[in-house]
Amino acid sequence: MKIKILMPPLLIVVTIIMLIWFIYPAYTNGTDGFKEERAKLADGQSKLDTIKTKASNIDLLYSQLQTDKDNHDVILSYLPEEAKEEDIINSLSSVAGNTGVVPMTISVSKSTVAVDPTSPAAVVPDTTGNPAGSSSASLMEADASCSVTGNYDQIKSFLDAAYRLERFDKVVSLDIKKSADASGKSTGALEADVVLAFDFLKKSPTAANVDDPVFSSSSFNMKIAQDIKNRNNVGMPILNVDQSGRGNPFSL
Amino acid sequence: MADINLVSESVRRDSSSSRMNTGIIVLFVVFVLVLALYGALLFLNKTTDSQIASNKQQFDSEYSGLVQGNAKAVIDFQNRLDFTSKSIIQSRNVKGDLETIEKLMVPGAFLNEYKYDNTGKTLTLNCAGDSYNTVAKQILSFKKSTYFSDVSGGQTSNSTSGTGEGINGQTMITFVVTLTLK
Repeated sequence: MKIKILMPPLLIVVTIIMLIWFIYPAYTNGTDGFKEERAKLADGQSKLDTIKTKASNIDLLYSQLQTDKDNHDVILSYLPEEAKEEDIINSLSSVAGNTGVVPMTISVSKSTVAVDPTSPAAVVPDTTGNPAGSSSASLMEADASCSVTGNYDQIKSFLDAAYRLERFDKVVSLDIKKSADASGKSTGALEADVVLAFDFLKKSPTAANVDDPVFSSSSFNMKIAQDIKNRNNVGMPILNVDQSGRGNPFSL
Repeated sequence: MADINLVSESVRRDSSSSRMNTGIIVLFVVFVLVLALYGALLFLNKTTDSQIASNKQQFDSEYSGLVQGNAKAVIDFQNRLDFTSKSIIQSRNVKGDLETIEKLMVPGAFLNEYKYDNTGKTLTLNCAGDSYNTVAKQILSFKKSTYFSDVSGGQTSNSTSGTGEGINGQTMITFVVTLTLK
């Protein structure tokens, strides 16, 4: 009978103790309670879903690169991975020949530094702030100094054709003056000294940054490739070595 | 009228005992439920922990797959697109500048030298005119154009032209004009 009387208050006290000291801390304790663990699980699940979406987007983007070869090649030709000095010399020589100017000198100096770092176009910043995998890349340029002679219309056509090359280049400096012979008398022709900067972008050796915004989209915006096609109608001539090998490399 | 208690003592005791028993049972059930709740929480915590570990493992696996291989090619191409978009806006066809100068030349004036500098986006024109009036008109012609943001010039010098243009031997006035492109 005494147990019967003691039982109800005892049960109430033990239940309250259980609720306060065990159940509530097990539900939430600020670190690893049930509530926090569920939040962690939801967060982890969200991250997993995001990365799975990104993985799926990467597959789609990569397959677009494989299938849309035309636009891919246009972009890669416009901004190649290497300086390709031989292509620059060959293209300028070809453009000069097609427009009637006489190339006096064409020389290319390979630049290993980024173009004017203050230029907004020089660096694509890594906005994610992830130090482990940065997607930042620097634009490089190879300067081509070219001296040509011809009449005014020919020089104008030459400059226009150089601008319309399938590869990006910009005029760094241009000097057109009347051509003079050794005695200083005008020959009637014009002489143009032009420095063209041909940009190129090396492949980034660092690992990809998963937070890069590019992975949020499932397709590339190829409108720019169409713009290039519309603007540039002077193809880069394909350079091939047809024959090589000579016993005496000092003889022609 | 005096109250008469018709319920016997034993019946009252039975009723009180029955209520107490019911209370104890209810309290016991509540206690068991609380215990069950605690057990359930511990179990769910453990399950959640293992799910978190599993998710983390999957995430790490997906992550390591992402940072290598195709993702690099994708980022590389996107960088090319970004640079291309910016550079195509910045690129300038100097043919347009030359054609503008063509339109702005006044009769009696011609160019001796045309210089373009991309850094300052400036054109430095070494011009010649057959009279000071022509020089002034030429400078005004440049200034009236909306193609340039700034036009400066005014220094002149006399020279004997030997540069053709049908004015051999004539004394020409040479002047330099600096034009800043918009």
